[in-house]
Amino acid sequence: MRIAWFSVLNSGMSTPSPAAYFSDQVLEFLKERFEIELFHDSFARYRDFPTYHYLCAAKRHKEKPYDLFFYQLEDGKASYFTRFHSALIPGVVLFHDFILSDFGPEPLLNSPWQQILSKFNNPALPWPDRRGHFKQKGPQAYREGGFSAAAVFSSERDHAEYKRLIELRLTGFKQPRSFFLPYPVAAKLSELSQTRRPRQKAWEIIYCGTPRIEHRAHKLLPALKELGSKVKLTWLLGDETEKQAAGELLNEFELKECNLLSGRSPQSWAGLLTKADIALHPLFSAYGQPGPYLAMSLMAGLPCIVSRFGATDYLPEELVFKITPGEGEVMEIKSALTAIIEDAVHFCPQAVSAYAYERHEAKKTAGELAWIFESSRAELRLLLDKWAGFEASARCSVLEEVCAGIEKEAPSRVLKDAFKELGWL
Amino acid sequence: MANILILGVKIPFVRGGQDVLVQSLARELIKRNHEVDVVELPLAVLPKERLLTQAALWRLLDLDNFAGKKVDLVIATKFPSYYARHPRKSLWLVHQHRAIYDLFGTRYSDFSDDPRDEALRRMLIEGDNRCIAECAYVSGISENVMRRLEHYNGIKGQTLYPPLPLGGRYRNGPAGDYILSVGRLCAIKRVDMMIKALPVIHNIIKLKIAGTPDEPGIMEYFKNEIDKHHLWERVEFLGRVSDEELLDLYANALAVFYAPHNEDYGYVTLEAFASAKPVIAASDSGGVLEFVRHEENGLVAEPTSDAVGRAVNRLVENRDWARKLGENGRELISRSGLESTGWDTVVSALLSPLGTAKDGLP
Repeated sequence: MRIAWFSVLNSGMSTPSPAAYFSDQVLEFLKERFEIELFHDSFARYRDFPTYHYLCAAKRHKEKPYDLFFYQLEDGKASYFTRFHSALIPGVVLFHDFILSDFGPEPLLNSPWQQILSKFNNPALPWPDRRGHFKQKGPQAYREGGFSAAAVFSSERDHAEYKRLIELRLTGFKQPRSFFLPYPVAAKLSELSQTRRPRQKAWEIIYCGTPRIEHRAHKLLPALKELGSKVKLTWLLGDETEKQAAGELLNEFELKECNLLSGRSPQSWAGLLTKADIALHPLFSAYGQPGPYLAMSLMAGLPCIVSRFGATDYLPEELVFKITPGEGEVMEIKSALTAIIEDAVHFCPQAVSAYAYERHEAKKTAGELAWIFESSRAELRLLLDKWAGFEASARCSVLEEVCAGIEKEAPSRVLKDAFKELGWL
Repeated sequence: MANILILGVKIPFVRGGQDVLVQSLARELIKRNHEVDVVELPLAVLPKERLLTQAALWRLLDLDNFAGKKVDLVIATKFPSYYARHPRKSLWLVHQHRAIYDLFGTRYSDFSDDPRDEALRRMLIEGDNRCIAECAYVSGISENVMRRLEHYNGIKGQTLYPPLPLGGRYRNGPAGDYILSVGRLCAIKRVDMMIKALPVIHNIIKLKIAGTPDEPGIMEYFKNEIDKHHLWERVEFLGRVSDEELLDLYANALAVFYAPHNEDYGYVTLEAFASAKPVIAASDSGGVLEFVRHEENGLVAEPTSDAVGRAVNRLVENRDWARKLGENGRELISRSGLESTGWDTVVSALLSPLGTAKDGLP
């Protein structure tokens, strides 16, 4: 089975995207079962995979057709190309984010996507007016969700939102197949849950949120301050701008015992997990999600503090420590940390790790994705054939428009002969 | 001696690097005793479906023979001139229709996700691949242009840098208190970035802008920005200037701002260096960065107004250093041969399909 895999790829960035991380974890397993070619917004190669600029995909598809197009979609400019191309040739879309903070690349501001979806399902409808403006009900990925032939989600909350909201679809009245697929995590991290580090004077707490309000640093830091020398925080940040903002927050809350690091990435987080006692993953926002970091912390068997909101609300109560955002948040954080430090609650690292292993182990996740591909193949074949016909009718429409103009102004076959010679007619 | 047609593409009422290149090439071929003429057709990029018609029009031209004179060679330059047919076709590529290539999916492209736009884009790419592959010799004006051709179309060729349009006439003068911007006024040239940087730049520094607008609404936008930041006394629009005026402007500038998005080549960079002036460019300025080296002959800033402003201030606060950077730029020009001798290389290469390297040099 030939797969065109569209994704941001890890080119040594210090803060790789969830899509790049996902590709890193599963591609090595999947390449044993499928013929995969990678497409991204660059000309750089990725490992030993055939890698191309995404604008070459249509040509390669024409030369040697793919059975399936796979897109990893996430919020952010780096993923604009996958958002754009997912409506040029539809396929399976993995949504790492379903709520998006903008409409995408600027040319989409004139996208007549609703009329295109309608016409695909009802060819009798006319082609849309060229001067349209992009309209959408909310920040959810209505367009990208509508064009997905099958949809996969790394967040159960987003999966639920997709099923609730997406009505205008490529598949017409039939709801396309949709799945939840957790972030893959290397199994090796579970070994950390088997070892008990000798207790140092202070509990090592790790945290990888941004200094922005949704990651709750302004609640975590006062709680940590109250615990004094019992705890030591290591804060993994993105770039120097984030580090500076974090420094200002530490000064504001007079927290001295804190190690600030930049270069947030799953690799650097994995390094911190080996020495950590507790991981903090609060998030209170409709946008974004904890990403692979929380999954990695669970795989390592760490006690994790999360928010009772959004993507983390689905986690089992007995395996994580949930905090309700709001007025009592600082007290709840302090209480949870105290309970962990004083051993006042039963916590089993191996149980947490076993849950994470069952859910997130990378080879297993790759296997589930492979099953999604194989079980979707026949249906996607029919859809791609229908889409090819739709593309052909679009091409005819362009040529009719151009030739109608020619015949009106200069009725002659001369230009049509040039069109034929160029292979356009 | 050969009969040569240069195929140029004209956007009426707009003058830019393409026009300079075509005229310079014609002049140099004539100097070398060839019979030369220029064939130009106008290009309108809107509505975009008309691009097919305009490409087809080039295809229909019969360029074989005029008034008993056989055309020995045609030299194509910019999209869609290379759609023309001729048994001996050289390409000195200025650029393709970038909206379907490197600018696709950006604010500089009007191709959306409508399947008709995608069909049009694919047809144009097919046409480009077919017609460029017909060329007996393929070259482009910069590494950036050739990289695009190779990456997007799978076609390789040679880089032939266009020599300076005004030859050895550039001169250096005492640095005044202005930054110079030269070029067409349109979004992709990003002159607005320099205007918006002025509030963080020392007050004594003005901005002089030589060039005319070629996008609707662009002047209103600039004027809004000037009004917003109260910059009326600091920004001067000069419009189109004569060659002499341009040489003076370069000679007396503190530095030249040239930071377009992914530029093809950028005569302005070399003109600034020929005048011994440092260039302020951006990290995504494409062909410009084939010449500008950060802190050697100019400054390469992140493409933001703040970063550009900080770069300018560095030059303002250390004029000796700014002069040194400019001198390094001048030295690059001297070593490069792009003042005059560069034309020998260009002509020889473009005429290679004729089968000889004769270029009519006395």
